Amino acid sequence: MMPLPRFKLERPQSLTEALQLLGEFPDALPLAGGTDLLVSMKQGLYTPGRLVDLKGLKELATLEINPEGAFLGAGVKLSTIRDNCLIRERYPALSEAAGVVASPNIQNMGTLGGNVCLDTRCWYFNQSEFWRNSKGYCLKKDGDICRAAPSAKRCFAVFSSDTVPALIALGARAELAWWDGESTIHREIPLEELYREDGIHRIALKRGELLVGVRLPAAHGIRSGYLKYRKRGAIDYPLASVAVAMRMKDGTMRDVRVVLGALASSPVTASEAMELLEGAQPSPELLARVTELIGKRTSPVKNQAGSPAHRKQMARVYAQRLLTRLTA
Amino acid sequence: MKTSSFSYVGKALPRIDGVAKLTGDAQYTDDIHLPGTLVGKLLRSPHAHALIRNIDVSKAEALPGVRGIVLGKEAPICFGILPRAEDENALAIDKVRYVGEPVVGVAAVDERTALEALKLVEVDYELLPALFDPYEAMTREDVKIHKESEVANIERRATLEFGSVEEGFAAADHIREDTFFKAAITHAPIETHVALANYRDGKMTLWSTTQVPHYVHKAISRVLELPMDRVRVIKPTLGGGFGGKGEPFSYEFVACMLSRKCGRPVKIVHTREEVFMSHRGRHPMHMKLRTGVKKDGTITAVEFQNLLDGGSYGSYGLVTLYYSGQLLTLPYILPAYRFDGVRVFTNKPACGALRGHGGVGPRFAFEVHLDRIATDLGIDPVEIRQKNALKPNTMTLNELRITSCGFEECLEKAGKAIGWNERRGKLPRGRGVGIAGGGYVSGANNAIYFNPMPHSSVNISVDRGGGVTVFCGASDIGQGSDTMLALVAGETLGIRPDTIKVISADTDTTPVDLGSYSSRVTFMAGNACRSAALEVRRKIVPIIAEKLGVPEETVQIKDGIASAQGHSEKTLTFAQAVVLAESKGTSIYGSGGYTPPKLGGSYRGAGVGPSPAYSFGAHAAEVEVDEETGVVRVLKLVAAHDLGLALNPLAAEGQVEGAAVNALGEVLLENHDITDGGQHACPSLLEYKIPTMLDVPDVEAILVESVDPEGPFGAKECGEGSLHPSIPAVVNAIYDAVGIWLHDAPITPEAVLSALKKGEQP
Repeated sequence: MMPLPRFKLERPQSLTEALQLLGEFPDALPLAGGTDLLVSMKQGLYTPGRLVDLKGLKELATLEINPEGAFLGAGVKLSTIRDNCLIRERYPALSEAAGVVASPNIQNMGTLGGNVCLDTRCWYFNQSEFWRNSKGYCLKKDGDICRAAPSAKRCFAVFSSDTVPALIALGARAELAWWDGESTIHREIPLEELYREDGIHRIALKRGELLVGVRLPAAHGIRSGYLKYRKRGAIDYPLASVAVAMRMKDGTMRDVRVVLGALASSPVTASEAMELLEGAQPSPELLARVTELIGKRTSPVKNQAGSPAHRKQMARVYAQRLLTRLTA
Repeated sequence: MKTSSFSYVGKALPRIDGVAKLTGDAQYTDDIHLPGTLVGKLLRSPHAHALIRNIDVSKAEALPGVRGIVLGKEAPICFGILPRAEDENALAIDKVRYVGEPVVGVAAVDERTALEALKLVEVDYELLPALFDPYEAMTREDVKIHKESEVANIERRATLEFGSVEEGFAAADHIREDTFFKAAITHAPIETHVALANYRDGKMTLWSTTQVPHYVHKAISRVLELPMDRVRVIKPTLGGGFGGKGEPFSYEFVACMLSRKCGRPVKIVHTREEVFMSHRGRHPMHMKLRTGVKKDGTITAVEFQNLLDGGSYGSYGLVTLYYSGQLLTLPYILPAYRFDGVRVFTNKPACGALRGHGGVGPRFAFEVHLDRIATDLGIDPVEIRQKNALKPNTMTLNELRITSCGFEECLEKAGKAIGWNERRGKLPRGRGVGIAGGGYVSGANNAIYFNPMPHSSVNISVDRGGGVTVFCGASDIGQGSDTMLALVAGETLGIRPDTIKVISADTDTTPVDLGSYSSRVTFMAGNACRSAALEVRRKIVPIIAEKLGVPEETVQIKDGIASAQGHSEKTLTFAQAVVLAESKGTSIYGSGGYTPPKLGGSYRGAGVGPSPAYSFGAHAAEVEVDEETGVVRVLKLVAAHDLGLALNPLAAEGQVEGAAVNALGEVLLENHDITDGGQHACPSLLEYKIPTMLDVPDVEAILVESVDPEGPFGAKECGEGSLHPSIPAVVNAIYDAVGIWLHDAPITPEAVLSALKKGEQP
């Protein structure tokens, strides 16, 4: 057995109460499905004094899909996102992404918010205290060097969420909230602005700030999809992933968004590829050229299964396949 | 004997413990709670190779809640599963040899306190250079992992030679040489290792997740210096072994030491990471094969070199080493054969036995090598196997006695099921089929330690209600040996197997069986059980005959009702017969044992390999290779396995399917790899990739029945040999799909892509 470190469990009855707790206690962490955090806590990676349990908060449970767009509460289970017929119809990339997170059991526990705020992962970090002590601690926890890239000054832990590339491709905005001491303050930002290219300071949340949900624009005519490269059929984080959303108008590609996952510490928007695709007519030659540009500015390091070059190559192959599928 | 003449044998029998397991009722070791039980934990070495200068436990001892601490010097007697390799201590005394080696044992009132105490123990290590590469370890005289090794870190070199190898090569029309590498895999049973020890009134009781209660019994007695009659080892319901619980382990001794010291029960439960560090799995093997053949594919000579990376301790390694050489003479006729093998120590978790022990690496290598030879010669891979196939009632050149052998039938059936003739070489690029063969022991002919006793013994008692209870030391590790015993006893006695009780694997109440390893239990415990049941039958039949007034030879019993042939109106229940017997002053019991016949040669190494019977198999795979990603998907796997006779087809199919899936993980996903610092590269079931349901294709198990003359009702091994051929079948199918040969397993997408790039090298 690996026991959890001791912590106090807070069970707020409202979002306001949750935000107050998170604001008041600097050592508090929010707990959603717990499928990732509790494992990390058992490994001694996080030792929060309190866990603020978000389960059952109705403000996070909203699931609204209408012709103008959608609002998906952070507390919605991944299995709901996977199965909801409107999401499948209008935002297939998101439904596909939710359906390849870990396994169906974990999708039943894990939440959209948890996956959007998923910690970055690294072979040198996601290990037990015993292992890290034996190998030597790393920058992300207790150490002073990045073991994957010892000459680097920053942490290269990998952005590993499946739903985020899909959400960014679909134009999602994140709704955030925090307690300023007197009232709840809300703000909304484009989802991509939530992430930073740093395995440690990976997410641009203020202290005590919580993701309430994500807002999606109207899906009129949007085609989208998500492909994930992994070692086995389930229970695997992505080694490379790609999400694409676009419209087709008069035989040309419009509003093209291509987002890569698991190749850096944050999701990567493949802007060169997008530029080339925008307004163009799809053809095998074009897609081949575009594929060359995929992952151009990413430089994954050896901190996951599979070599960095292979992971990058897979992002290219999957991007080409996905574009081919969506433009067919 | 024909299947149709049996009452229960050959029919699907759900396992007798199935309902208890499904409902959560079954008692696994960790389900046993004794009042006042302390939690035991092991402090493990963070270093791969170091001297222990000093251990200071004073701060840990002072921690409130700590009840006892034990050190290696308190139990200096060495243990090891093989008498020739007793090189381990319950806890390291003056040296650690791998990351994770247990150094100190702590018992405390709860888990957190025990873990806290571990942090307070101060161990002063002097670091030594660590060796991880077996080639380096073979030559480094300056770094000795075990000072007893005569040459560098070589534990043992084994050479075997049969027939005239030079003449064989001289007579060959074609000679081919290939090198192969097969990485380690580990067992990954769902239940981690657990021990609960209770020392009371001078007697030690140990409940443990072990495949070998008898060997643990002996080892505990020896290391703790307690007479064997003061030690009782019980194996509760067990959640999978696959060889990973097949020898005594540190935690078992430490639980006992702590319980004796504290006067309280002590339980040690391994984390998943600790299971990975304990290992004892497949040896990484660096292999070289050279084979001479005639133009028609007839093998003239084989030369095999194998370097086994043994890790830090002996474990079963010497047997692995010899098995790897000896079992290569199955399932083909080799007229001349030379083996040169070396097992080397490195600073990694010790390797030992894992499902298919010893033969899996060499089988992978040889079957791919054979396909390459067939390709060189332009011969069909099935044909070259048929041409060289071993025949029944023959002797291999290394003196393995072959009795029943259904290898050719396996080849034929596997080929047919995969559509060999219509599809081999004819599928669109990217799709392919492959085939491979194999053979394995049905139990080792020789016990691990020399003794003249039966390998398995069974007692059967019958109570006044007509209830039958089988007592046997055999260890049901999930393979279903309890159900097998009930079936054999039931068939012999004419009692429904699902009504028979089985008490097994308790050294106080059950007679000795050597344990669940080497695929020996059905053959050996099955025979012992049959012999015990026959004794019961011999005692009860005369009583029935007398009561019914018929000749003894006409008595038949079915479903617990005795009758006489030709006199169906005359019946007596088995229970009535038992009461009658008891009224005559004797309670009914039976006792039987199984000792294998004397077999094998007299040369050095001849002791490993002989078995009273061998299973054979041929597997065929269909794969799809994605040439852009390098991902190999197995679409179908056919496993034709000669198991002599399917006592319980339901269980047998489960074993064959399970073994085939085990092999799929081994060929495509699993790698028990160690980092350059000695840490396990993937010590969790997230990062160590056993296949999920989505990775498993349609598996078709074909049970081939060659009816073994010495097996119980004709049965032989079925749970291990059915692993071997799947690995090369997949590799050979990849060649058919995209024209590349892969010589390193597991096969990664990167390796496929790089081979595609290079053409069909190596």
